[in-house]
Amino acid sequence: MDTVSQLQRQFVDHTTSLYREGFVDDQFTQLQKLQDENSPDFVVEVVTLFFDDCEKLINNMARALEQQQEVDFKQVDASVHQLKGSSSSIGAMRVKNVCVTFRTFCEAQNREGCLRCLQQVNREYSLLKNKLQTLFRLEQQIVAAGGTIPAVE
Amino acid sequence: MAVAAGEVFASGSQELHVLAVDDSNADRKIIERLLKISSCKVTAVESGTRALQFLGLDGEKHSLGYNGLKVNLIMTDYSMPGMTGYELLKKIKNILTRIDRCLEEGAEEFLVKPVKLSDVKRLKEFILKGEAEGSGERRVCKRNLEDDSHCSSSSLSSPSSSSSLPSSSPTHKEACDDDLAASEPYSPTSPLHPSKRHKWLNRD
Repeated sequence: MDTVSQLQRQFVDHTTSLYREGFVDDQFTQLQKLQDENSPDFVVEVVTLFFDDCEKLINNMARALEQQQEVDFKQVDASVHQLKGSSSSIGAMRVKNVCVTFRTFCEAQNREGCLRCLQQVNREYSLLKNKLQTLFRLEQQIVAAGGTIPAVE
Repeated sequence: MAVAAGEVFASGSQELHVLAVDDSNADRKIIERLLKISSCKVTAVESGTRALQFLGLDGEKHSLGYNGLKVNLIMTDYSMPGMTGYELLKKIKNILTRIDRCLEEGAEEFLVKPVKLSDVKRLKEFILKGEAEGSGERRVCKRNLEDDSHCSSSSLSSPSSSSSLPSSSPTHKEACDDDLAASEPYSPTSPLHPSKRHKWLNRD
């Protein structure tokens, strides 16, 4: 198997596992459909914006939850709500699902529950970031080696 | 959830210009792409405040109608910090309703205060262009429209402002009390033209 085929194989496997393990959902597929020769880096750009948002929001949540005295759960919830929205928009399913749970703890004003969710959100965000960076790297390598990116059903 | 309001105006070769409002960077980029792929011109802003600024409805600077940035459709995210999408649409609709009433009574355009020299220049060109294209009788009134927070009683312009308009052609000019800058519609495409074809689309 030559380099391109190997890379393509890896790409297909990696993409399949992303979906199978629930890291991304159909909305991610929708995003890829918006990418074409007029906007060749669209997915990378959107995902980058999402990760920037993530970091900012996670920091907001952490700061709000760190408050020793009165935790402003409304503020935490506002950030979670925003994160839920963005993650939904790009198809980051696992991140979104944690946000759903997170919100119930905010509503219940449960600090411990919130802190656990914050940890989970952080973890899911990091995992997703790694996996997508791998995906983008594979794409770049395939193109650099003169191949085309395979379509994955 | 996104709600869309405004007049959907498809006019053959002309592109739809959409104003998209969303506080999320990722969402803005996505909606921008979706609309561009659908051959729409897009302006994406991050807040209701920015949207009002862009539309010239924030009571500052320029006058709507002469800035060439006609918007056919406004699409806004609902939950945003500061002004929600609902509040934004309410504000726009309120301003447009006021304008609408005046337009229905014969005015064709309007200016937002404070009025600048460039506004009057553009108004003059607008009218002269209309005359060149052979429109008939027109009623010209002048009024400055203030934004929501000011009462209408203080919005009457001085009578001297109507006399600054050109009277070179056989047009009939009438200064009205509660005036609105106007000329006969010679162009079927008016910026965010709220009267008559006024249609609000609300979609969850």
